[in-house]
Amino acid sequence: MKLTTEFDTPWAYSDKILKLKTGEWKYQRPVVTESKCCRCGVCSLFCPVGCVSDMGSHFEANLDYCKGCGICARACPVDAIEMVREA
Amino acid sequence: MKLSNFVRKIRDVCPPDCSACEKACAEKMGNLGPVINAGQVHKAGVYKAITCVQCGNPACKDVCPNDAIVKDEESGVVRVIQENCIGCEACTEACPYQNMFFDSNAKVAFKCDLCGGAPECVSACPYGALEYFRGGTIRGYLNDEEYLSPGTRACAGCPGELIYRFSQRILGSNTVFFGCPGCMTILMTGHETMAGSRLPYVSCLFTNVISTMTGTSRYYRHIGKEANLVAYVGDGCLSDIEFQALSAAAMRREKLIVLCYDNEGYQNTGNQMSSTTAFGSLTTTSPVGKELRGKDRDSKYMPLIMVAHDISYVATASPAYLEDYARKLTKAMNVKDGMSYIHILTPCPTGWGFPIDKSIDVGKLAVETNYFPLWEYEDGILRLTYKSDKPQPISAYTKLISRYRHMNEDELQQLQRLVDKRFNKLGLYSQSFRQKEALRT
Amino acid sequence: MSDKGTSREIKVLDGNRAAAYGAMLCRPDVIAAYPITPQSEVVETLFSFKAQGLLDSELIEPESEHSSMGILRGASIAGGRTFTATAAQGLLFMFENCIQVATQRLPIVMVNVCREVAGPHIVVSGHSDTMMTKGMGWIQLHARSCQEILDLIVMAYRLAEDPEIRIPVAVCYDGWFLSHLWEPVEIPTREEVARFLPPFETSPRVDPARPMVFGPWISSKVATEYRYKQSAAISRAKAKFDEIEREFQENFGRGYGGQIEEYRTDDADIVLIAMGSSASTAKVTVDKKRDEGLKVGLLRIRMFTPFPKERLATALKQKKAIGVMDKTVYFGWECGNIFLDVKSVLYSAGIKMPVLNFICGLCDSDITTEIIGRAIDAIDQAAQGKPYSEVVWPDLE
Repeated sequence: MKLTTEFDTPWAYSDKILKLKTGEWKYQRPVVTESKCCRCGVCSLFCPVGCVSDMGSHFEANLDYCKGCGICARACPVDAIEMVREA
Repeated sequence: MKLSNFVRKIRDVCPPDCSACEKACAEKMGNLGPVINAGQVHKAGVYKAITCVQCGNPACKDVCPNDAIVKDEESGVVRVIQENCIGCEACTEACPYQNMFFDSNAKVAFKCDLCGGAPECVSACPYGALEYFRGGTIRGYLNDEEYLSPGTRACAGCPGELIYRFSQRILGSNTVFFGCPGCMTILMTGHETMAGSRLPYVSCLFTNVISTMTGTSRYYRHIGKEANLVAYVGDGCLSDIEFQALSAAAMRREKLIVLCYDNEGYQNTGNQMSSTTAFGSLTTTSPVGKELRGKDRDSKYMPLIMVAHDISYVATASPAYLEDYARKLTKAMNVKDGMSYIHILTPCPTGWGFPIDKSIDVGKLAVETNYFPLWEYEDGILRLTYKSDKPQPISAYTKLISRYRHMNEDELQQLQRLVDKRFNKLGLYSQSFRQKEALRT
Repeated sequence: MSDKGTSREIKVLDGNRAAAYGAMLCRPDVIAAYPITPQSEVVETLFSFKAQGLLDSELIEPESEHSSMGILRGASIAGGRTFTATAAQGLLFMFENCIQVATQRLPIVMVNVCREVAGPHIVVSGHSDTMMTKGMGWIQLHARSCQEILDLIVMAYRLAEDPEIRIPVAVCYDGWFLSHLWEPVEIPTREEVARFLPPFETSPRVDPARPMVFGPWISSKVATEYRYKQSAAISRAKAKFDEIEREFQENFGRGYGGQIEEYRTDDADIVLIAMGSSASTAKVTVDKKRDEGLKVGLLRIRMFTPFPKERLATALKQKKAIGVMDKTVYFGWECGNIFLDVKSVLYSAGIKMPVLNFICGLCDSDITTEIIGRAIDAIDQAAQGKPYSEVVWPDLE
């Protein structure tokens, strides 16, 4: 009898978080024109996935996780983000 | 990471001859002249800034040779210190958005300063087309921790995920989440040895979230332990199957924070109707065909039912109004003597049928049409926390969403009547409380 | 109860009050119980204890039994000791939570006051609630005296909280026949119960200081493993219960025999098997029959789940015939539950002998010495090789 579980009932430690490569879902990706980005942070605030980060000079989405919803482009106050269809 | 404050356009309704915003700005600026242009406001798209965006690293500040431009730490406003301005106009050239202006008489640069926090253009607009977006204030509610990493199974564009993420950053690490099978479980529950987020989570049955939380809350009270105990569960759970348990826990004054994400249906199992599904909606259990025309009755107005229980705090929230929600969640966290309940509308692109980039739009229109008014209730007083100057007809909302596509004029009017009735009822509640206040004083 | 509780008291209590005393002595952290006839006095007594300052638990009267068990679950996963009481419809209302709690290996203790499950609707004594929930994964212990109810509750916590077990326990006793029967009960002192039952410690538990997910999704293979572990744990409860009871006897001077209570079975030719309060009447009847020269013994099942198959097989090995009293009928099998379980044990042990089933005591029908006497006679007939009916409904003959 080979038993592999640590506990008597399912528990998981919260320091290992499940991260799926949801970037593979998208049919369009956000492209930021760096010179246009005003670093207001609105894109990162409204991104449901939380994959937009401050790169210093501009904000950018992590394409490994970006699902391509386009909310960031819609919310950007200065039209610095364009949704471009994936090939 | 800072967030900016600015004024943005939220409705595309400017009549060609209106320049109320520009006139109000000019009046405020006095000698210098307006910093917004009505024509440009008319041309601007929805959610686009019409004032200076108070950039994170302003180009104008970078090019100023005399340190005449500063970014205020507190308010985030980028300000010209006119005494230091040497009139070189480098800033007006540098600004990528043409939001820096030069007064040839006074020979100084000038720009939008958001009128000290109450932009005149916004209040002057007769069409409710402008909004003062206070990113900085929102940011103030959030801590820097990333408890929930990206890479979750939520649908693209899901505002439920947005709210969950956002809530965690306000609640902080002394929090335990409770959830049950539903849309958000897939974010919360983890898989095998991996967790959903860094905050502790208790997975419950669809029927025992509230009772399980009660048990943990009572035991913590018994041992003198304090923590935020938060349920993040859907309308299907709270308005239907756990309604009884919720009602009883509310009356027992259990110290729980109950966050209901309302996607108006059992979305995780494929859009079956729930008690909060709106009148007329197409769902799999309120289909449209020769004999049936979608949901044939009004929805259950959960937040007002919680007011009837007189719990410590009740509020409604929308993902399009994050500052409002952040303030409300903070209040909920500070309740010590009973339950707090926040009912959050989370429009579902998958179940309701709208493009995945329109989730926030739908959340906004729900409020702007008075379909989902934003209010709070505490200490026996109900008050609206947002009142649209120019509420839009419900058709502005329903035309975005497929689940209402089949509705004819009569049906839409019926829905409009239900919306108006509910909103008037809220108005009466809040008015009667104000009258009582007046009588007391 | 004396304030200091330094010496044992004898009080005349009914079954429900004995249960309340038992629970109070074990100092649960959270109690959530919804009143239901015939259990209401358990809840009422606990509330009155709290009002008098004798009980330091969080005491909740929720709006339903479903919530009662949910509340206990929430308290238990955070590290608290818990208690509830219910009966019949209430037990079924909390059924899904009970199953969940057992798979989650939470050492919750409850008292189930056995009552017929509705249909046709009568609020009366019976075992159908206990039988319909026997597969829910809980340990079920059955009492036949008010003293035993109190004692079993104390032992139940020891059993449930044992790190090798961690299975919830239901202490069952017959509604009305025991719940409302007044008997002298010796109440142990708080100190000696505290010595016998150390504070509940558990890990992992729900705690923001050590964040964990309780109940992540798992694959089928992993789920199978958890089922296996649960099955192994509840089976370990058999020997463990005998061990705990021996220790209880040493500390409190009372013992009942562990998984089964054997009365005059050693030299018996025939044995009657009973469970619950009817065993008391059976004992009296067995004595009468013995006086008449019949070598009959009584075997009372105290631990119903896990079923005490090893000890039963040993006890019944050399017998000529046995009879099983069931207070329910197992629909579709035309016999009772305990009867089926016993036959299965005998088959596995290679024991072949006549086994009779007496379906009596349903819906509050009295199980009289006369009925039991007739049952013993029938078993005797079978033992002598005469023809017999396997399943008998004494009330309808």
